[in-house]
Amino acid sequence: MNLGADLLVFTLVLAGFAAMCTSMDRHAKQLFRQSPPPTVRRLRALAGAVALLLALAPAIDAYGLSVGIAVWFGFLAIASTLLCLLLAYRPQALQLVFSIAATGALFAALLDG
Amino acid sequence: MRFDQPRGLRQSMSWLHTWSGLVLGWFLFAIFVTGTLSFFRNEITFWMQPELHRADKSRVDLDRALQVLAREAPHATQWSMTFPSSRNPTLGLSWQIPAGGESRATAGEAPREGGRDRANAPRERKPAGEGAENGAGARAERGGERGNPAFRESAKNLPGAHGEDLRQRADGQAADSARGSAVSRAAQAESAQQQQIAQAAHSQAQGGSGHGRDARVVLDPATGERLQGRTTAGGNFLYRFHFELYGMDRLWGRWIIGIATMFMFIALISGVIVHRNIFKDFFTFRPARGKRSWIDAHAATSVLSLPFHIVITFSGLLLFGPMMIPTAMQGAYGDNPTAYMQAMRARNLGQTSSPSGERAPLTDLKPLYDAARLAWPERGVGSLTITHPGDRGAIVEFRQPMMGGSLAAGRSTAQTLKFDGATGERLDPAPLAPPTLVQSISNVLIMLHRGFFASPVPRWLLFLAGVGGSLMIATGMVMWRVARQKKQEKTGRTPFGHRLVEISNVAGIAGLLVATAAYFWANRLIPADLPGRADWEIRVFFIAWAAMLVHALLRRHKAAWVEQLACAGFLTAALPFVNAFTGGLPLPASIALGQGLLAGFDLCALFMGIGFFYAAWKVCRHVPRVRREVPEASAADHPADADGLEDGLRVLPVEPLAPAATHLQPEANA
Repeated sequence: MNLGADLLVFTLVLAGFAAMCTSMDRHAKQLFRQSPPPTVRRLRALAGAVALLLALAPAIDAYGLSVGIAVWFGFLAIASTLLCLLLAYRPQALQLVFSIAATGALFAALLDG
Repeated sequence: MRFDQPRGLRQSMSWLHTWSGLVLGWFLFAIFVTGTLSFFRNEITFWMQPELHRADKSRVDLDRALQVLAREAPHATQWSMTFPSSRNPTLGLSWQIPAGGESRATAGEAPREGGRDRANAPRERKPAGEGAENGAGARAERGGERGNPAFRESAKNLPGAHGEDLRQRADGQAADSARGSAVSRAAQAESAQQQQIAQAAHSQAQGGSGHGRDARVVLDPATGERLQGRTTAGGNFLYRFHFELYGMDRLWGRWIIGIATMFMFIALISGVIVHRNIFKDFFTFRPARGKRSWIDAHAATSVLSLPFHIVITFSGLLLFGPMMIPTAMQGAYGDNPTAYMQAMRARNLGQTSSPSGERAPLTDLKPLYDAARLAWPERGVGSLTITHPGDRGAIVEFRQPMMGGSLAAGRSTAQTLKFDGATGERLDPAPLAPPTLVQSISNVLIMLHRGFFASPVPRWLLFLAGVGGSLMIATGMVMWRVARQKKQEKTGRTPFGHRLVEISNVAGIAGLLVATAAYFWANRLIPADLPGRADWEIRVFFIAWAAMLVHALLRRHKAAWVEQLACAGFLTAALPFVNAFTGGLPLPASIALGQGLLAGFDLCALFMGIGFFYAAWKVCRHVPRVRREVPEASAADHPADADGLEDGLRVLPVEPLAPAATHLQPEANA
């Protein structure tokens, strides 16, 4: 029914969380051997947060205010759980997942109008 | 924790978290699992009636349906039809026949009823809202399960959120045909006072018209053929179990669950306080590290779905609110709970019609149905109610499927279309008072808890979050035990309390999964025409659960886990095959035919079964981690170790995520 919006919310949230992962000291070290400079990390965290907040818009648009927020939280939970498992078992795949999610978000945004 | 020594906030909270979680943890796990399944209780009930699986919902034969109604119930005061939906592909027909054929009395009767209640049922005075939930609500709900058309009427009489909500359920659920289920039979065994409430509320709900009969028929929408679904306790057993248990007074069951919910809320809040690095550890899970991994898993399942956990627990408490804290209601309405219901009814009730006594043929419904379908191209038509069919004053009312929609306004946005039954003229809907802010908030929370949504996606999200919550509780319970492993190894004996928790963990977690799967097996293996088969389904559930408890008592801890998880895995993963071989629609066919709800059930069972197998395999292969030689001094640094959790979360060293191989090696400096 709202599949376009669902996809958009999910991919945005996934990309946002992935960006946040790479901004965190522990995971950045895990991914890139050494932690990037603080400014880069802060920018990534900001970009991630913006993506998460952006995802709220299509969710509310598709489901109305109250259910939209609930749906947004639901997707947050799923995306973060996925990334948590990914970092534990396949950390190398994080960048791939981020690219897919970001492309997917663009694609879904175009689809959804 | 030593109480004779000064201690910090976090340490106190940690103690609170550990014990508030442990004491009712198995209860909470059962509530979470059955509650999570309840998000799909319509689907589960439908799966449990394989006779209905092959219904063809591609079109609706309205004429045939009306013929059936006219033949079966020519003197009914109300006919109802529930159109096929994504949650149930059958066409449900139901009707209501008055006892003496007298017309429905007006609401003016109600105060007298209330007075009688007060005189006879001292208990009812206190939980008035409870009376609403427990009496009219429960009754109406049961009516809904049987497809009682009076249900919608009675639902209108219920206060605030409940009324709104139950009315929704009438439509969402009228198609749910778990009639005469064991659940309702259990309800009949409730105390006399409860009966009193229920009866009073029921007759009140019907406007005092007394003991109307009601009946229900399920048709194949396209052919109009009558389908005979087996009697089953269905998803409703799981649903009712999750908020009032089984086999005891409902009020007792609700109080027990209410108290458990309170414990859950306490555990949640104290858990957030105990967890020092929520953001830093947000994405952290370190597998194969013994206790560390359990702490990570517990923290991750808690934190990542924390909004869900808080909302579901709080709204659960809210649903029990009128029962547990009736003070506000008593303050406003004194000792007269009926007054509260009346006030709420005035807000929610549209006017009802009364028959003219003059006969008149029913107008052709086809154009009206088409008009309704045209008016709601997206959501479609959920149900149809014909009040006083065959009378000049007949009313035809179409209603959208009752599944939330935008809840921003605090009420369901399901619209209705009303027509004059004799002339086919469009009637203006009665204006409803806008909900107050408090009502809106309450409605939103309760609808979220009950998962009424127009689209399946939010329901699936809730379901997944519920699975996360169940895992949170399960990992927490296991963690309590794992945290005490070291001490146990040191002393070389298992204290009674630890053994008790071990047994309860196996039986409460793996055992419940086995029992749930056995319940679904019982549904298919018990003969469809056996009298009282719904009771047997429930008995199988409890027998299986009890057997798992005995098994856990007899077997060693690890063996018990492996065997029960494997058993749950087999029973659950085999459900799609059981379905296919016992008359249900096989999985490939349900996918091909787009029967999403059957395919969803089967696939879910398959994946979960595989998941249980995997868990069994992991436990089976588990070798306790090679323990690093810890210098004595370091152990003495953490006297709180015995309390387990605080040690884990508080003394959380920021370990770098080293490659897995290195941390297993003995420390270089040791």
